[in-house]
Amino acid sequence: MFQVFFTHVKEKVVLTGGEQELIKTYFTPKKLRKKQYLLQEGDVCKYFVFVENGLLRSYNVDEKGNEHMIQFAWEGWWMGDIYSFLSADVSAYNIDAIEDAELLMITLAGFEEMMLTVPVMERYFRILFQNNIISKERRLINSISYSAEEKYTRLIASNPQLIQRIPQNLIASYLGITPETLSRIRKNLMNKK
Amino acid sequence: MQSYLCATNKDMDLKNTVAILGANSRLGSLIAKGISKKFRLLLMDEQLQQLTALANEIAVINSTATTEVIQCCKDASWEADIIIVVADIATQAAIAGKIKEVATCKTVINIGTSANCSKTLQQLLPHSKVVTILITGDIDEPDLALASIEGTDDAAKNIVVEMMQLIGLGVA
Repeated sequence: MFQVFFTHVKEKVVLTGGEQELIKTYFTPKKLRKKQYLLQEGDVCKYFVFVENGLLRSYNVDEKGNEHMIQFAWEGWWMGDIYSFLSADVSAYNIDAIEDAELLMITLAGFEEMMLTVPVMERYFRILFQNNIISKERRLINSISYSAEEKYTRLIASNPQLIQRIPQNLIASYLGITPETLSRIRKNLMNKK
Repeated sequence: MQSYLCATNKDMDLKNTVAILGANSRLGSLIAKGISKKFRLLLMDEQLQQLTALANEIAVINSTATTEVIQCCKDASWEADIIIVVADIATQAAIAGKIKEVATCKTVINIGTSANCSKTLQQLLPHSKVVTILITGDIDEPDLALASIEGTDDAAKNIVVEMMQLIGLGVA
């Protein structure tokens, strides 16, 4: 139940057996079915969530009902609306499962207490948030500096499993292009091979 | 281990999921029927036919209910946000052993009459928020029955009070 989680944590910090047992007591294990919501727009994000198995997405919906993908999260990734989680303000996002998922969820109170009782986790989350800032900056640069085809090839190069697991219309939404444009890009790339 | 989806519509919204372990019991089915408007239900017990009959009965009472029957208490508890245990004292320890690792930080409600309501479940599930409900009076006549609630977590106790109101039981 915690295999992926502890593998992920141990890539960044060293944990004792005792610390691992203590960490487990702060997390709520939860199974989520495909299409089931974890968070809906207008609710407060009460949990920061680690994906042990499965696939989640976060997105918002515009006035016309169009979905705009913000993030995908599969095994080894964290998911949540961090602003809503930390501020207890309502979220502008929806989070649901693209595949059945096994999650480890932590509340803000649990998160804060875990930092005190297992201080090494503060270092883990600092590294995690650093990486997150870098990743968001790269996404911004990709979004404003590259063509649609370059955006797609860069995304696939950094996340090859995206194509296998995520429907094309969701990938198009994540890149901010239409499904038709993505289809044309894929056809062009096939012809180049 | 079997699982059957009995109501497929409206099941993906953000209702809290409640696992009722011992749903075939008189008290278990009373709770299931009472809270089905507000919660997504996972009905767990050994007798599948009886469980399916209960799910069908709930679907007639409340057409918007989302109810699923499941025969594994660990799977039901893993998926649930709230776990209700309706079992005799001897069975509670066995259930606690099976669900312990998936019940961490969750609200676990131990409900029963004086004959089967024990306060030891919190010791068996030290990392869960256990609330004990002792029912006095005849549960078939909710107007005459009373529920007394014990637990240390206020949020968990508030959920229990809401459930008792849905069932129609007075809270002492």
